[in-house]
Amino acid sequence: MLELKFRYLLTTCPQTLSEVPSVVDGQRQPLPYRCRFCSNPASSPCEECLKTVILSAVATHQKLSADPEHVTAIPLLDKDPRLDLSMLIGLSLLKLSGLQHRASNPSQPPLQDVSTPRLLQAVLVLDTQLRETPDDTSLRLLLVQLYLLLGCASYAYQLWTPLDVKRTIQDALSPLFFDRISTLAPGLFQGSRPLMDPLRSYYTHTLRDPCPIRVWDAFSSGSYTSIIDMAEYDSRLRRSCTLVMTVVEERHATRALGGKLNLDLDGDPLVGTCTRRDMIIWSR
Amino acid sequence: MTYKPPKDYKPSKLQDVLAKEHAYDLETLSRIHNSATTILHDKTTAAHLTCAEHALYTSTALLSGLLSASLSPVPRSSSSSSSAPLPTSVTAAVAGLKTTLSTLRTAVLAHSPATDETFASLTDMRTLSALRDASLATRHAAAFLLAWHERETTGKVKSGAAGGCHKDILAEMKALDGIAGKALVEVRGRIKALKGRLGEGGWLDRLLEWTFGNEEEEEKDEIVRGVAALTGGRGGAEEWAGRVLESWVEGVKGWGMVRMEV
Repeated sequence: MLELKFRYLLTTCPQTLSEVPSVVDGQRQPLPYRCRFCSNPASSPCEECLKTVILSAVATHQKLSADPEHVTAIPLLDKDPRLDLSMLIGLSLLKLSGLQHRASNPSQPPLQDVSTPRLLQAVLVLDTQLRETPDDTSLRLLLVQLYLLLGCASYAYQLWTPLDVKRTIQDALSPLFFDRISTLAPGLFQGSRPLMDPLRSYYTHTLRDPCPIRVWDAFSSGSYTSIIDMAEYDSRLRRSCTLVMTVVEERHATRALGGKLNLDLDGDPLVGTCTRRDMIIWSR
Repeated sequence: MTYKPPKDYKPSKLQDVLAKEHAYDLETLSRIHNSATTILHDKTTAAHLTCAEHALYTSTALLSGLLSASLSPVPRSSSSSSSAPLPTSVTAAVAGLKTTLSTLRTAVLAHSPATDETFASLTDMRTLSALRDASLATRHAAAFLLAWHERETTGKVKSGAAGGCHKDILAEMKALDGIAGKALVEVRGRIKALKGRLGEGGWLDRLLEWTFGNEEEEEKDEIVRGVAALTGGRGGAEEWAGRVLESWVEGVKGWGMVRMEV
């Protein structure tokens, strides 16, 4: 399996492709590179190598599942090797589908020029693996993003909730799911609990005092250097994009579903902690 | 890239006729216009936005510029006001708005021939949302301007002074209002069509066919056979397909509750 992982790494690394002149002996070459691994003409990444990786991974996975000795030994290991194999297969299929090319050009519609069968196959493989190993965070995060791409926002939310993103990591990780969610699925905002509630309560709680309480603890315990870090962290949090995103998504969804906007933007306690100068910084 | 301007642009929120409110409107509108235009002209912005988002923000910038130009007191004498040509900024803004609205409408209707139309729509709801936002903003702006003009002209007629805005601007706004109204009808129609389409039967099979291809393709493609072996084949994948479908149906149901009126 290590061999497969290395093979995948090499295949996705552009240095394994050597460039080929676009016209040879008067004939146009269809593909711009030659793979140093399998010596076939290729585009980036080499499709033949990816296919080989997928097929070997599938064969290994089936061998592992078919052998009862291996299956009984798996719970004793740190990690189920079939999880890695499935991730490898999924990621290779995603590369084959052409999704990465679209990521570099966001102005086109999301799934234009992406091979639908390969994308769906990748999602299916990863989803099946998640059913077997529901605790793997990286798999879950990847699937959430893929389902958002496919437009299955409610299912993505079901997968997102067990990740239990709360407190400090909300600021960093929430945009993975909540970014522009109101434009994708305004229906999600109609549940029993407001969708942005965890984020809003986190920010309201953390930013309610102009000066973080911990600063006084730091003074009294004599760790003065941490005070500067705390102050900087606090000011960054007040200007965080995730905070703006929370406010914007809430307001957008409320207007879309016909609710009343309770507060003027300036009166919103989250936004009110920012100065006009911060607004200009946000816009950068 | 999570940049967004604060979405407090809602010209219809004000009902007061005091001059102070008017001044506040003008100031807010010109502030929005300035900051939005600066951001749009920044080199790095276009790389981070999708085509639909870019069109949406452009339309916001243009609307705010148009409104602030229309609402500003124009120096006029009573005879020449109705025949003076519109300032170029206004005509440019109107033309720009028509272009952005039509860009968004084309984006919503277009899809590559290889993908199924329903799949393309379901995976691109953000463009639909952008079209709805742009059209609603245009309608709000038109309603606001017309209402303000009404108030000004009825108020000022009694006091004898000329007021309100240029009649050509009004005509253009009414035209834009019409275009935006049609766009909203299209959005509503699209949601309804999606709902209807998802309500038809055979979706599980269709989804499985998209994933695995038909029988012949499955025979030929080793990778598909490998994936089928790992995931329990078509039978095993049915449950997954059911979940995906359910999620799509829920999403479209949520969209059905979205307001399309001013």
